[in-house]
Amino acid sequence: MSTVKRFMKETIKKVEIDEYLQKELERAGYGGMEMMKTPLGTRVTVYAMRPGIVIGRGGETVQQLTKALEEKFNLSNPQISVAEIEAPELNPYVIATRIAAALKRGVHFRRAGFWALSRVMEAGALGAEIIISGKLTTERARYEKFVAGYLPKSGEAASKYVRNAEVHVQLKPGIYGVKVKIVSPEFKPLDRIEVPEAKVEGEAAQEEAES
Amino acid sequence: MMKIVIEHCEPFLSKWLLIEYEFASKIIGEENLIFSNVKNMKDAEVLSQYGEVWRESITRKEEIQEKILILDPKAEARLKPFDLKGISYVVVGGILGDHPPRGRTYLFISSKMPLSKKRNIGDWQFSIDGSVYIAWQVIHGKRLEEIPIVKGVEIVIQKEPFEHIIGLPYAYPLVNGRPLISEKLIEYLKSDVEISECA
Repeated sequence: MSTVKRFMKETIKKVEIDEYLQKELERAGYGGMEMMKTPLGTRVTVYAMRPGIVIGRGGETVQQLTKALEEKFNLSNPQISVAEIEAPELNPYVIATRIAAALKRGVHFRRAGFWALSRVMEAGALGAEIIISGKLTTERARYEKFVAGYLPKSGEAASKYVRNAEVHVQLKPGIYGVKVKIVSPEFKPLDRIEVPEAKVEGEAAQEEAES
Repeated sequence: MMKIVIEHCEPFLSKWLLIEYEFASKIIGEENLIFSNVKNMKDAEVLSQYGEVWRESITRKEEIQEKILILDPKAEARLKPFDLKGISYVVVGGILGDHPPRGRTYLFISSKMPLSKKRNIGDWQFSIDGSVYIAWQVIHGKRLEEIPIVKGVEIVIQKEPFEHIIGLPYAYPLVNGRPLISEKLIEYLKSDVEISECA
């Protein structure tokens, strides 16, 4: 198998595992996963708002998940570790799931979009984008985008600091899609230069004398 | 004179649909437009302001099938002015699209009219008024390549404090460099923006 094909196959497998875990761990507040190959097997770190539900009574659920990953996705010796999400508002999976739940409850999509965006920005995100698509109150499908702050769309910054999540929800008019992009607060954009304010001469001299 | 028929395929006459029908009538003139398959009496009354109304479907008009050309995105061949030779009616599906499209023009119209010509006007799904405009231009001798189009339109509703954009994943013809969308539709889409929610 060529290198390109191997990488593509692995990426597709990763997306399939992500979708599987998202479906299985919806109740636990699934917030994404990381997969890393080690000499002993594959380490899978699952992020969730309620890690207790992922682990289950006596580790029952996590054992079932390990078995499923091994049998369904042919992962060699998977080892699942569970981590709690520190800031749920900065996790795109959590936000997308919350919007989907709000839409299911009958909340107007614009209300849900604006509410989620303000929560994300209040939590300290550098930027965010929420796209809700489907037959939104009309018979013709469309999408509505809610954007705030700084959002790199391409390059290293986009792949390293922008986290994406996509959730689908079945409503009466059809399937709605919710896409969320959040820029981590740790990101320091290179094209944003902060110039410190110039100090007045007298103040600078006074500061020097004090020190 | 050749006429354009909009085969009404939606279960009811929604506001968006009515705006597109009205705009289509404005583009080509009500004397050149026919609405077919309008089963509901009230809808027929409303649509009679914008063109001739046929209560029965165009698919039932078997005697004139050979004089009909259907604009169907699933058709294999592109529309050319030459195709309209001997044609009396150009049919556009009165369907508010899904994204991705479900191919309802084929299901509701083309499959029921085996003797009629079927042509497409591009790979993308067009709005009803946009399709009517393009058909009208081709009737008047323009080739599809001469009609500029834009694929996907975004309308910015507000900029501050958060940016709010409405995206229409459909193709629209460009007239004087601007997508051909009715002002009424833009106002309709802009309505009920909950600005208070973002403050």
